[in-house]
Amino acid sequence: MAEPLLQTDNVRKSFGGLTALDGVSLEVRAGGVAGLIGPNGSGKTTLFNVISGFAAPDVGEVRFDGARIDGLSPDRIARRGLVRTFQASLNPQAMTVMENLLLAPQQQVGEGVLAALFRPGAIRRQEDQALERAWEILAQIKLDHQADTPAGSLSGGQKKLLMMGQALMVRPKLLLLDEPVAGVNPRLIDGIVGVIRALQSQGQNFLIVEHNMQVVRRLCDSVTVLDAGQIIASGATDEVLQRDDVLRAYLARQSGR
Amino acid sequence: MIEFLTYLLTIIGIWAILALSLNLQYGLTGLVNLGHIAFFMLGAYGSTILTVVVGTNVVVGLIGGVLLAAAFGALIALPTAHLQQDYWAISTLAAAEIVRLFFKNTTIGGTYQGGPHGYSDIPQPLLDTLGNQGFGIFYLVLVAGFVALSWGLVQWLTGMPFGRALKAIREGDEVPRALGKDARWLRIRAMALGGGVAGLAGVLYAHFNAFVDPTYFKPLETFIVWSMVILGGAGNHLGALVGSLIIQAIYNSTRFLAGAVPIDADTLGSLRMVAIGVLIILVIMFLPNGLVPERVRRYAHTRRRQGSD
Amino acid sequence: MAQIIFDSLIRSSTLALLAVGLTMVYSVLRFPNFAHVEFAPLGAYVALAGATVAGLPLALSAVIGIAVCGGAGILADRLVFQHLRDRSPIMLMIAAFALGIAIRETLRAIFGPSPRNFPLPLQAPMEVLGASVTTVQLVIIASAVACMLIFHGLLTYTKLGVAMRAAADNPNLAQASGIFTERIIRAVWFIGSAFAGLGGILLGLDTQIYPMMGFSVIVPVFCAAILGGIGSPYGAMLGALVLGFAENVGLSINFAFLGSLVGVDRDFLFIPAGYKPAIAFVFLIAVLLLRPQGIMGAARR
Repeated sequence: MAEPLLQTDNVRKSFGGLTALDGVSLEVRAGGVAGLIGPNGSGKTTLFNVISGFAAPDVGEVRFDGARIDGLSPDRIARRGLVRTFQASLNPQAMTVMENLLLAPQQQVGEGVLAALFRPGAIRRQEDQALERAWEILAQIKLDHQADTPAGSLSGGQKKLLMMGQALMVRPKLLLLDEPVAGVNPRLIDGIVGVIRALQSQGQNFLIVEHNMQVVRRLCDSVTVLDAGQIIASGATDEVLQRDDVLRAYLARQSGR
Repeated sequence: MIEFLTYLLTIIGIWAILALSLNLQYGLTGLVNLGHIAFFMLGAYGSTILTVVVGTNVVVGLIGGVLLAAAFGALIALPTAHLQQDYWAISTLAAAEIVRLFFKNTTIGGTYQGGPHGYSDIPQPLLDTLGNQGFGIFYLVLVAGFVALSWGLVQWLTGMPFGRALKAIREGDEVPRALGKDARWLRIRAMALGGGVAGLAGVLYAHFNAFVDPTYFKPLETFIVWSMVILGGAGNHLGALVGSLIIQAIYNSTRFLAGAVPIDADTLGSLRMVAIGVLIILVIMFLPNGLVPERVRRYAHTRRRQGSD
Repeated sequence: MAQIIFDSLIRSSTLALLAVGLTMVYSVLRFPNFAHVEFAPLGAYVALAGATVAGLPLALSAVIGIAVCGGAGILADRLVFQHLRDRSPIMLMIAAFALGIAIRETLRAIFGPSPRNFPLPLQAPMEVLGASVTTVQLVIIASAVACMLIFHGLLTYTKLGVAMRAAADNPNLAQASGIFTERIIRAVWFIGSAFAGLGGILLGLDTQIYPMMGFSVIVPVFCAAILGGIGSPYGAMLGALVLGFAENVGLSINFAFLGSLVGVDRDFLFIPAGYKPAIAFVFLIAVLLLRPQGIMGAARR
């Protein structure tokens, strides 16, 4: 069996006296949409931060695409093909939708100062390619009529789509989505789900944190359940979501809020 | 009158270069650099020491001054990744004062040179050939050329993917880093570039004035540059030029007012600073984007007819 | 030795008054108020005018100077900062910088650029524990200590104090729960600026009164506040103490031993007096790089 695309091995992380991750070993295989669920405070976001390099694990390893990535900076991890989105929109609000997308591609010649001055031809070619892809993505995420709108003026759902679109510009090997439909207008949820499915069929790999169980059922082939910093269940979505202990852990916490 | 006008325009030009460089750092990249005058000083002193003490020609002095200021820019950008913005801002103020104290307390090149005495007899290119008035006009043209060059440089870079990445980190590191941008390296380059351009202004000032001493490079001057950028419109390089024109006009207005109103020069000097201070507060309150707001690049027209696929 | 301790205490006293006010405003409004230090010359000049022009007793005119500063703090908030509550800290910071210059240059326009002195008879220094001190210097230290004690009572027993300590302990919570009403904000401006005014008067008593007297201590004051963990009043006091000593002790340490480490054989190696201001600058940068959460910030964990 091939090595998993992403693997965390016994990852621990605590903040002050609080243990956020208590020995998490997670595997994400290529070729599907993996889900990560769990009640609030179960450590999902911390795990995302550890995987994407925004937090370093106290103990444990993170391997991606055959190499260790724990301890690397977020930008280096992103350059290896693992890109994430955020729960809240942290996108540059003053930049337009199109500028946000054009920002995303990696290895842009024009990001070097000297190249920006002396290689205008190469930059133009890259920009044209990026523009073309950006328009495709914008059509897919249905923001093509708002290319010149500042990101700050978009609705909550559109901001989520923009973040996804931006991540797609990178053509990542694995895309981590942090609550892609939370706080999104129900009418837009179907659209987002549709986009993710379409991308999956084109071979895009996903790891998704989401609270909306309906969306998890519709999207995820496999799901991992996190509770109090530990994995309590993992496997095919239908099976896991039927397990009593999962429902109990999940529902108890959710209603106890 | 002509002489004063060429003098004033030259000074405006030198400060416009300073404003452009701060606009690259703050307007574009969001770096709250409160020690900008240090780059100006390093440029001025770098070139002065090279030409006066070492005895190189002015071109070498210019290159040395610019490189020195750029290196300092890269240096103070190093801790940005670890510091909150306001902490970094106050440390730039401190760093600039350290630079000034260094030159105030260090004599390079002899007993009566450097230190509190400053340096005099800084070479003024072609002064002997052109005479005083000719030199004034020549230097104005020279400065104007460098303003155009600096403006072209920052304007061009702003439109490039480099400028776009700088704009992105202006609003926070998370998204750019998640996309694979090295935010720290971008900041280092923005500070070094801005520092180098500000250093250029310093070189131009030194060889224009023929005299430098540490009293000219106080934190107040940094504020003057800031007021130019805020008034003109942070992020818009044309705004930086407009801002420097207006602020320098207010700053130099005392020369015209001195005879017209019954107030002594010292008091007038203070009142003009009060005016600039109040003006900036009003601009922040009522015109937060400045006189020439930042422009957004439009892309809608690049959309192809999506019929083929 | 006693002399160094004494000089350090005087310096710490003035720094503490300014740093506590700065940190108070920061803890409530979350921006570094660069205009804060300008209340020092304001207080000093008002006190000077009261004592010389109006002929009031110095103590009374000092009280007036302090009260004027407190009022000026509220006024600054009303005229400027209140309208900028929803702006980024950067904009507030720049507005504060501009306001500071406006205050300072107004004072310079009114009182002139040359340094002034409070009308005090020449002081004969006396011998205390081997250090030569003047009565005025004792008054400086005593009033700073008294102020800090009053402030401690305020923090412990009033609603304002409780809110401020909560904010210092958990800035995010304080911001989210909006524990600061406009009334508390006004109180903070008044007390913080009044402290700065007193700091300025004491600074003027110790040395001279001049327009730049506030701005010239901006870095040490910020350094003290940051050293103590900005937003924490007790931290600011401790920071001021540390910095006051660092400045004075730094100059009197013979660094010859360091020279011998790198092979320079000298009997004496002192920091040149011209670099005295740089001690605070270097200290600030070192603190920011090594311990940006401040010394108290670390202790709290």
